[in-house]
Amino acid sequence: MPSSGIAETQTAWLSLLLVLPLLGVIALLFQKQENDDQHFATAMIISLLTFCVSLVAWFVHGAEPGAGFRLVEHYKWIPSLGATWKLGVDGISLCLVMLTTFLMPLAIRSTRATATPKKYREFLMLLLGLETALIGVFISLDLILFYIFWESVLIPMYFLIGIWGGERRINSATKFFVYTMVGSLLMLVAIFALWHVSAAKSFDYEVLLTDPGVASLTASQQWWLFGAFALAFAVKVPIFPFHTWLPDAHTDAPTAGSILLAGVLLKMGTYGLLRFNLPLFPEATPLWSPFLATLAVIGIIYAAWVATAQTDIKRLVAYSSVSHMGFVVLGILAVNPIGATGATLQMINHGITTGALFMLVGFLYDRRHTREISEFRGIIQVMPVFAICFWITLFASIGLPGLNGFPGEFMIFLGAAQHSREWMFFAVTGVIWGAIYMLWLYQRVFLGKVDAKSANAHLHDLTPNERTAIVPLLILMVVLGLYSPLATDRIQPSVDRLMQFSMLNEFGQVPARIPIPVEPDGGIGTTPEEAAATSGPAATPATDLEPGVDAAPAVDEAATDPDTPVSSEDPATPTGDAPATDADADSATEPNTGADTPATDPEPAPAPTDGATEEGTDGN
Amino acid sequence: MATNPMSPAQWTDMVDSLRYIVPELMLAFGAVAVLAIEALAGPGTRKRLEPLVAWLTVFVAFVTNILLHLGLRAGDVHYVAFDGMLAIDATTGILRAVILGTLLIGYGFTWKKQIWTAVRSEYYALSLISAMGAIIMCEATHLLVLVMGLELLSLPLYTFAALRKDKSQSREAALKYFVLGSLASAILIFGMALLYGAVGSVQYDQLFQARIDRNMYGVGAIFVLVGLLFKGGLLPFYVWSPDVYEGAPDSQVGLMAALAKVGAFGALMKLAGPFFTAMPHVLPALLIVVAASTMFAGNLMALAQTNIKRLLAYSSVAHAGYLLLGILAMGSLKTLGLAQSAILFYMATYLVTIVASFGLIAWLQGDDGKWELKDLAGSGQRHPTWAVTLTILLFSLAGIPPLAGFFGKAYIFHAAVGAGYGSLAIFGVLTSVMSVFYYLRVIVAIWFEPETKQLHLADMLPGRLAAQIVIAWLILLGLFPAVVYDPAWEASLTNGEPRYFPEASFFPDAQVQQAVDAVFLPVVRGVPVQLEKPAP
Repeated sequence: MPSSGIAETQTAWLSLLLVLPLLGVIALLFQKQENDDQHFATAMIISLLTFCVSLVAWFVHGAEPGAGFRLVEHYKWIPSLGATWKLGVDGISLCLVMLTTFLMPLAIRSTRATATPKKYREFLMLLLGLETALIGVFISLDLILFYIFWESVLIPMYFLIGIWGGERRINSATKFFVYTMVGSLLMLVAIFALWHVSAAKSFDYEVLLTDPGVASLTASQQWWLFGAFALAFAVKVPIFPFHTWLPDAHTDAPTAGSILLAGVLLKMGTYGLLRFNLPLFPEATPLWSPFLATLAVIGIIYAAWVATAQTDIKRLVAYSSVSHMGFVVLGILAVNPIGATGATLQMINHGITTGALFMLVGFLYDRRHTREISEFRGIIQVMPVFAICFWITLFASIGLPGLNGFPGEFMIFLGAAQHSREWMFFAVTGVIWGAIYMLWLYQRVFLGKVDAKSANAHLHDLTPNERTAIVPLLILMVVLGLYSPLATDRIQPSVDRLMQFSMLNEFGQVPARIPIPVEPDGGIGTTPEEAAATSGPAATPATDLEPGVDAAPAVDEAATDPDTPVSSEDPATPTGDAPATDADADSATEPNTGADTPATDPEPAPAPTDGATEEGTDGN
Repeated sequence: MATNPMSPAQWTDMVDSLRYIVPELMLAFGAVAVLAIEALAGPGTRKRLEPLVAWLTVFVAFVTNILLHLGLRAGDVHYVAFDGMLAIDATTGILRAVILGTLLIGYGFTWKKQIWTAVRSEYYALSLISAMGAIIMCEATHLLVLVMGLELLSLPLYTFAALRKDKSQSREAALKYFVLGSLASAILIFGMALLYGAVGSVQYDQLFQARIDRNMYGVGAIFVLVGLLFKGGLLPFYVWSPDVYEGAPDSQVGLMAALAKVGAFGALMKLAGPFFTAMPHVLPALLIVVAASTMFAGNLMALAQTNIKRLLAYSSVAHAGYLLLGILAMGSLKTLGLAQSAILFYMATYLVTIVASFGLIAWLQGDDGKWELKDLAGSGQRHPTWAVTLTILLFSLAGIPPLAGFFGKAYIFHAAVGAGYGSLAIFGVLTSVMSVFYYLRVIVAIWFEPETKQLHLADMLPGRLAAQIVIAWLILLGLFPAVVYDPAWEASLTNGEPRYFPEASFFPDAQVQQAVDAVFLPVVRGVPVQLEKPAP
């Protein structure tokens, strides 16, 4: 049981976020079936409440400045294993939580747009359960907890696709399930290996970031662990060869399922890359990034080409998702603040844009029960509002400046360019390919003349229900496009902090892991030079990075420099090292005190009293 | 062994120490009571009293066990009878609680009035005795007592398989089980004799080194292992499982599977210390092969099954493989505590899951043992509660969070990674994914396929209650595994220094790889494997 541990917040906002959707599930459980209005009302109220709580969390997070995790809740969970129930958000995860809680009510709204799914109660229960699992992924700060939420996403999604999906739903659902599970299980083994390697024997993310055992992993050991984690994330994102589950799952999922699948689930993978791979295994990143970046670029371009060849609108949008997630991966692999900020921003924006795309495709499908491009022509004449909504979303997806697709992409390009020119080149061409298939789709479906005899002539435009579902997304597209600091103000500090653990400086060291030299207390009367002599790298705990380079010269210098104003008149130097250097300097500056002074052995441990008494006698 | 008669003080000691095995004694008395009721009471009274007496016995034993262990702290070991033939400590307490709890759940599922008219008393009496045998196997620190426990466990199980007297399949299953099981027991007893020859004693704490003859020790230990591996259903001694599970009456199979597994692995847990210490090179190598092949073959063969009982039987085999991976991890001192608590946790979740799964199948009215997957199609529509329960059980068996089965497997892999068996853990994880395929196939049949056969459920209130308890337990442990894991961890610490784990004898982990190489490479290249050479 989560006993009362240390809760770093006044109110458990994050636990509330997790519990609210589950309360919705329980409330739905007690309702009689076939009461669609009642079910819908319950689900909407719960999801809107969850959104409000996440807004509160947004403002609480903003109230405490700084880059670290906020609203942290820390309870005992499995004490014997070092696994705790630790929740917390920083800028990155908070934005993703907001995305989830924002998309959920809209997805639920869209289910009532034209045709309510059968077995509506169970559908909504699964959606709400999915919401808990998704939020949990983004807010857990304990690796086992993260894994549990990660895998818990599988069950609701499996049933959502398998029961309410399209024609090949069983196949797609099973493919989705098994694909994701294979990758995830290797990540589980890597998590265990991390525990065994760590000095603190804990699964706590913040502990592991600064754990000496984890920091002392060699580059090749990190390579393996990075790979295991990356495999799980690569399947989710998805990165090129592991993407084959996505078109099937997206196409065969019901609309609300697709919105969440494309809008949020894919971001789990890139979030994981940013949150775990980069900071925990920084030396492995440059080893893996050429390969992964190549795959990302292939994904961008190849998926765009395949999207161009599609005849099913939803499948085309699914492939466009693969293509756009490639950009995000590229931004992350650039391992610099601007690339990562751009990637995170793009995660949010892509979620909004793709959510809107799938929603609109769903509206179209509800009317004609077909998604074939060839079936549609000239829709703009019969459904002008719908066409405008699609127009805006399309351009947001392509990355037109002014809409939300642009800032994120641009920052990704900047980041990629800082890393490698080739990446930037390919990434930018990906934008062009994206424009090609999207604009061509628009032309085929919306433009042209409506054939008066076809079914297209009698389509009705967006209903008010549908409008309430799509308009918030469009508003956000414009707002975030024009004023992205709304998000980046939160993201930037967290990304900077993350990069401190991820970026290697010119010596190949991770800045956050270089121990800061401790300034010892020199005591009364210690001159600044003495403090400098004694607080040099000699007092620094040994790191395995260039140990001799910095440490040795200073020690030698202090020992052999006869001009060091040694505190011979100060007997009370308390540090262990000081007496040694003092003793050495003593023996250097005062030659004939006692020929066989024991000062020649620089042992700091018994030295304090010895050094002090010796200096005392010498000084006198 | 002294041939002097025991002194009064020793007698008092022995009688006094019997209080630690009161739960087992209660089970024995309960069995006798059930048989007495059958012999003496009238037909109506019999029908009502026997289940009640059996259930009450187990319940009181369960409570007694808990009270007993509240008084013990981790590390307290209490020996009973003749200078330590049974060891009662916190681990045993947990295993006892698990066995008795499983028995209670099993009784809930078998509360079917019509079938038990003829064989009710036999069933209850035998199940009580079988559970007692399983508990004794878990407590034994003397090979003779282990054998006694094994027989007490097995003979009733052979009979269970035969309880559907009207079906030839049942008799065939029973005969197969009996013949093969007796063979395995005989091999185990022979191994025990060899160990006696090699060491001069069959007390576990004497078995830590082969004082007299190392080769004979090796052979003896392997024979003992064979007997236990048979009971646990591991490769290559698993062949009886699918046939026996399919042939035995539906409501029995769960309990049979559960008790056999817990008995076998409980004994293996206690024997791990001596055997790994005395055979640090050969034993890990052998067990790696057995574990890997069991995990792989069990899952592989389950993929091909269409009969739900055979599918669950093969999945049982696979789960035994995971448990053996835990036993392997017990061979390393670094992960001894981790591995032991992992196995205990696994037992606490797996046993009730398997009893409940077979129990749910048993509710289907119709031809016992012939349930194909296509018969289950569409049952999600007709019997949603039953279907949801079975789905949760299958997801737990597959190891999907947030259910308890995930943590069971996770802890075992965690211990295996720490013991140096990282590649085996990865292998196990991949076979776990294989298992998802066939569990999903059942779930697809239940939920996604149209109905082919109208199924009727013959469930009763105790069964439904038992099912709900199991589901609640799995969800509880999935969210708060510390409820079982922490006590198991406390029980597995070696700080309390149970007498039969002398620390100095364990080898460091780095030698495992050398040991494995030392055995595998010669085998691969055709050089005969040499057991331990006597130290010069």
